[in-house]
Amino acid sequence: MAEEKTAALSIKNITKIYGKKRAADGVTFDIFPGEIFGFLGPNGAGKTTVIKSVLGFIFPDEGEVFINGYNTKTNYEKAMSSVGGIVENPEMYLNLSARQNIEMYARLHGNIGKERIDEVLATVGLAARAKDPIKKYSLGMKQRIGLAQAMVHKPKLLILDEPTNGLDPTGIHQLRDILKKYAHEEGAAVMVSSHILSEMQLLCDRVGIINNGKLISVCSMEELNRQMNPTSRYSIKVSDTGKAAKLLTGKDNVKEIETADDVISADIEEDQIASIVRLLVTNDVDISEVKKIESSLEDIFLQVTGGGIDIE
Amino acid sequence: MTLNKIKALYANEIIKIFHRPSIIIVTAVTLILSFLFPIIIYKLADLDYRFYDENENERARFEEELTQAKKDLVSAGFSEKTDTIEIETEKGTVSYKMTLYSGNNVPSLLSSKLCYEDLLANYDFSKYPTRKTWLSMESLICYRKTLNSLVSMQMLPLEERDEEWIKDYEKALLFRDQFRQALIGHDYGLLCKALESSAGNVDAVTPDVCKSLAETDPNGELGFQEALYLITYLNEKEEKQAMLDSGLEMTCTLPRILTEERKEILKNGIQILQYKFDKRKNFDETSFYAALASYYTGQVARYALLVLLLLIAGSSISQEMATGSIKSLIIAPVRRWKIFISKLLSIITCMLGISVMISLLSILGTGLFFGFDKLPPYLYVSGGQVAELPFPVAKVILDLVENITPFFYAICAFMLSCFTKNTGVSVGVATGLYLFHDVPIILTDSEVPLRILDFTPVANLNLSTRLFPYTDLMFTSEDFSLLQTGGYDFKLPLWFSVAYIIILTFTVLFIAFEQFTKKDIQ
Repeated sequence: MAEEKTAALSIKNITKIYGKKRAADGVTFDIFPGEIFGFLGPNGAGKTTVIKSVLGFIFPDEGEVFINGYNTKTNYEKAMSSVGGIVENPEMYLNLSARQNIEMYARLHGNIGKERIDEVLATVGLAARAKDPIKKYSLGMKQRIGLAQAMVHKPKLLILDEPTNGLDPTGIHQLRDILKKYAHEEGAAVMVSSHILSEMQLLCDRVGIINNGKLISVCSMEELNRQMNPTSRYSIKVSDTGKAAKLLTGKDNVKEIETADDVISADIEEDQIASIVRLLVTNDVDISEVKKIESSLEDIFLQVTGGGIDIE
Repeated sequence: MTLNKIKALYANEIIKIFHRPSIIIVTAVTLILSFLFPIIIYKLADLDYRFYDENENERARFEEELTQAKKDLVSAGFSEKTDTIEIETEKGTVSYKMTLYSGNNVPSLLSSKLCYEDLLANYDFSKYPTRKTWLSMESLICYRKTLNSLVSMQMLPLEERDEEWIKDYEKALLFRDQFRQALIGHDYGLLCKALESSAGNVDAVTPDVCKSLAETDPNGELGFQEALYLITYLNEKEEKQAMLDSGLEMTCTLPRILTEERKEILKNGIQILQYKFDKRKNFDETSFYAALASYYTGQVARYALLVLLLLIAGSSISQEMATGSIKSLIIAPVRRWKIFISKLLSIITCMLGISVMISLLSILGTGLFFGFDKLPPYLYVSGGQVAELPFPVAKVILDLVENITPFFYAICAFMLSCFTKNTGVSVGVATGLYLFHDVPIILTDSEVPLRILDFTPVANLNLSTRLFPYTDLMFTSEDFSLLQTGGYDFKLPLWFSVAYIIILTFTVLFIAFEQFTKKDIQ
């Protein structure tokens, strides 16, 4: 119970069944203030079903959602007053201007002044275009204005579904900064679902992975990295892979040697890499590149969802 | 708190509605049409007058023809004289001053100021039909009467026809030919001659009506138009009284036994006619075309309003679903029933607001083109007394009542919009329902008793003739509608029709409510 009160979002055993398919199957997890939570899963995994259950789009068959301690079934309006979000794409009223859209949304929350609207418009960098109708906006601009709308009432929980859709690299960078600042400095909880896993890797503090409606894993990014990279593996681009392989074979601190084209890769203790390089060079094997190999979030994601590896 | 949320949602709905180009265009067209449509009627009326006038120098031609007509009268053996007729009435003897042409058997045409000079002095050629129309009308009445007389005479069995019958028949044949020639040739002299020789057998007005007219206008000061509408009041009053006395109502099909509700309406109708007569004011036909313009403007604007309401209601939810803008509403801290209520309120506001604007603009347009004095007040009976409701007020209320039907179909479109993401489907199906709602009635009319048709979903929707039973020239669409199945026979009390509309509307709304508040939004 103590956890329910402190969590910005607490999802308890959410189950949604469509016909014979269990789109969400007993999904349970918490998101806490001050963290950015990545919600990952392949298409059709149940990611959007869970998000829509949280935001009131669909009615789950089982389970409960607590937002800021309020149960969405019994205290819907209080619960929803602490949430801001974008689901799939930020769809707004195309004939209205960005400002009018945000004003309309703000009106439903009440007590949001013009200054706050100006502030969020400036935050997303669209203050100058605020009077333009949304229909003139690009997808990236719509994403920004969607974010401004989602944040206008300073929600304690921000849920963003694919927020980088349509954003250029600068926009993605800005978004990352905004969300990090919002979570880490202002203490809000941010839940992000995205297919751009490299972005999630840079952005998230914790991730939850869902597949076939079931939550497979919830853990921090550090923990995930540790689990997936128990040893340090290096690839070395050399002039003669055969000779290099011969030199390294049998060394105590060099294991799992593999060669491909002009690259030799092996598990090498990090403090031994300098002596290995020296050994090769002194034996007339030229080195053009030394690179540490790490599993990316994408690799982990593919392994977890495709290979069925239990990383817990 | 709840009220504040609904107010905020409602304000948003109104902003959304009137930022949609399609709504703005249809609203603008509707309002412009409401104001300018009377021009079309005005121009049509102008064409109508010209049809009779034949040329633009009609007044000059009329004067010329007048002189000729006088010569005709003299050549036909008439001499002009002023006479006073003594008529016995309940109030005593009344003198009725008449200008006659050689005799006293043409009261309806030649009495008092209904003479050529008066006609010329009072005749507004820019607005009213010409002498030809007037003459044609009178000649036609007489011509039709002689034909009726001939037909009834022919009903007598051959063996019963005696010499007197043959004499009368030949006379009637002669009158028929004379009236026919007068009608074809607009020959006033011939008309007078025929009336004279018919010796009162072919009157345009009944003796009772003539008597009442004489009481009202003992000095013969009435003009042609005044005499005409006063005669109309009296004739109508006689008809209504005859129906009350007999207990039967004459309809276009079969006579019907009068219900208590109809008796009350007839009694009040008589009281209103008496009121009109006593006021000696034209409440109905000051301008037929003004009333027609007001009516048709209302009809055309009603179709435009229907399109507008269907567009607003039919897209209210479906378009938000289709474009995804519903998301920002669902994410907001408002329960779905509040969203539903606010959307419904916005539709009702549009219906009321635009309906009132349409009515006011149509009144303004009609008033500007035809004159505001041409718009008669609505007369009704309240507490045994006849009361007047100014035309603008009556028109606005009447239009609101008549707009119940478009509003109901808008609610149907609203319901459909809860089921589909396609606005075309919700608007299209609702339009189809409106346009073809009476097809089942037409198909079943001859087979199914009217009693059952009273309960079909489309019957009883229009309350205009039930709530405004004394509208004469303020036409109501029910007069021309098959929706009269419920109201036409007046078998069902008014409260039933009102309850019927309320229950039907709430049923549709309940289905919509259940669908919107309890379904998942994907």
